Amino acid sequence: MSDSSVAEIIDAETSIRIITAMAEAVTRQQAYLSGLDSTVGDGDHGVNLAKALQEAARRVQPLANAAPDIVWRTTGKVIQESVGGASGLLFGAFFVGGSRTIKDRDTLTTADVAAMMGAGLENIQKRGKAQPGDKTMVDALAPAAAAAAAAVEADLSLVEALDQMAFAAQTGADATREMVARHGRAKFLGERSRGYQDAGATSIAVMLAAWAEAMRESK
Amino acid sequence: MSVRTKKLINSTQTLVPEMLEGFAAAYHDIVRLTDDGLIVRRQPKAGDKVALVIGNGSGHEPALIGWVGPGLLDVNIPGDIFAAPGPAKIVRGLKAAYREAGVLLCVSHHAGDLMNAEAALEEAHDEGLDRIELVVLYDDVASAPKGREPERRGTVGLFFVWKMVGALAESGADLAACKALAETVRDNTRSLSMALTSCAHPLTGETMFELAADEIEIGMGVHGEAGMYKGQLMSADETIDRMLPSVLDDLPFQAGDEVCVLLNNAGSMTLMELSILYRRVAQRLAEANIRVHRSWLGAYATTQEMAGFGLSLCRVDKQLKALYDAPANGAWYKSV
Repeated sequence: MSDSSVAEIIDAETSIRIITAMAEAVTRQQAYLSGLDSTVGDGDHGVNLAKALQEAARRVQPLANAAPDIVWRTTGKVIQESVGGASGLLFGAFFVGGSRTIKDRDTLTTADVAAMMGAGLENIQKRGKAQPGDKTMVDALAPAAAAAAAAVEADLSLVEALDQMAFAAQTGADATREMVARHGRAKFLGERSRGYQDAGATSIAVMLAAWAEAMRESK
Repeated sequence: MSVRTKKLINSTQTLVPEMLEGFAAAYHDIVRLTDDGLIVRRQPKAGDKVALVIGNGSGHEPALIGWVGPGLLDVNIPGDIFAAPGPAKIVRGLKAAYREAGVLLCVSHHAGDLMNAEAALEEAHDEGLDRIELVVLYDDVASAPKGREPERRGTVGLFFVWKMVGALAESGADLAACKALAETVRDNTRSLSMALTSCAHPLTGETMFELAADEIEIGMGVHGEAGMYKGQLMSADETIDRMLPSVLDDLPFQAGDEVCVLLNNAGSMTLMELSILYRRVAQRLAEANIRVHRSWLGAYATTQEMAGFGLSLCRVDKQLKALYDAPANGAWYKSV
């Protein structure tokens, strides 16, 4: 870890800080996220995701000496078991799928992060079958994954890459407002789902913003 | 809208485990709560008979903890409130039920239930548990049009599946026969639900959906998912007259058919109301020359204190009638 104010690599310790930052951010926004979910769902999305990420952050704290993929994989498994339902499985699938691409790495580069994003997205789509435009978390994740790939092409630093990814995710989440749900429980609303921002996509944006922020808080 | 937000609980953090602990203590002669949060039969069924397993979100009691017992389910895997259990917990449930004759993993069709079950099945297969079949169950006519039945949700009509497949498994039928019967019962069952009032989510305390004081909604899911009709409150007879044709025309149920009928209390419906509603159902079925073999009125799958009901019909033949009438002893359903 460098002495500069930003993280240039992601090791296990940084990974733990990222997960912790995600947990804190989703916890701060949980009422807002649950409110978005109440339009189409049970209105418990933010509460559940906050609870799951808090539990994940607690469980990864002792893993500072493990490989980073263990931190990310553990996070995914904890989310799947502590939330359950579709969102637990899918949010967990992002971390579990992403962790498979970074096995045996001690530190992660921008290219590794891009690979994680791609694999995480793929794993979510394998389970959830949603496509971009269906008004789901994929609408935030797919642009973020594309931004990560573009960041690799442009040879951007991790901090720059994460900023681009977070921005792409937020833009994607904002765009769900005008979409009609075609997947998950919201699809039963049909046209009535238009005008509401998707809770899952918004959570992805919140988590990536927290990740980007955590990169600046390196020791 | 008068929605009751007061609930007698101790903590939202411990709500599900405390519920399971109390339930298992109350019905200790029928069920047992395992250390990892599964509801299993007190006396396991013989290993040469197929086991029925299902996971589901909690908050719908007596579904499905009340349906574990002889002649019914073997293992229920309760998730958190309104959330299907995760893959690891489902795998533990499959292991608890695993036997030579095999396990039928039933899924009430909702995105989360199906995804978690599929992920669990992959894990179980990876671990060498290969005698497991998955069957996806659905019955709600409001959630997808005719011709697209596999997209429909699982609702109260699935109780016909637990009852009849439970009886078949008890008789020693093999895994393929149990799965085939589950599909047969599913394909002969149609349901439609309505709500008079919303309810409060036990974790957030927030109202699950909005309904004005003089409004009803028909066709909503078991979590208050938006339905196909929102309009003025009607009389009991008018409500049945509006709902029953959607159910009858879908299969379609025809003159000469024989059916079992379920009127499910979604939470705070009175037996008075259910009886008045049933009266009209019976009248209309008689007019249509559809004979009723058996009926149930009561709370089988609830959504907290929501007022409303589900109407479900299952077309039965000689075999299904016999399976329906076979003995069962769950905490919430008994047939002698």
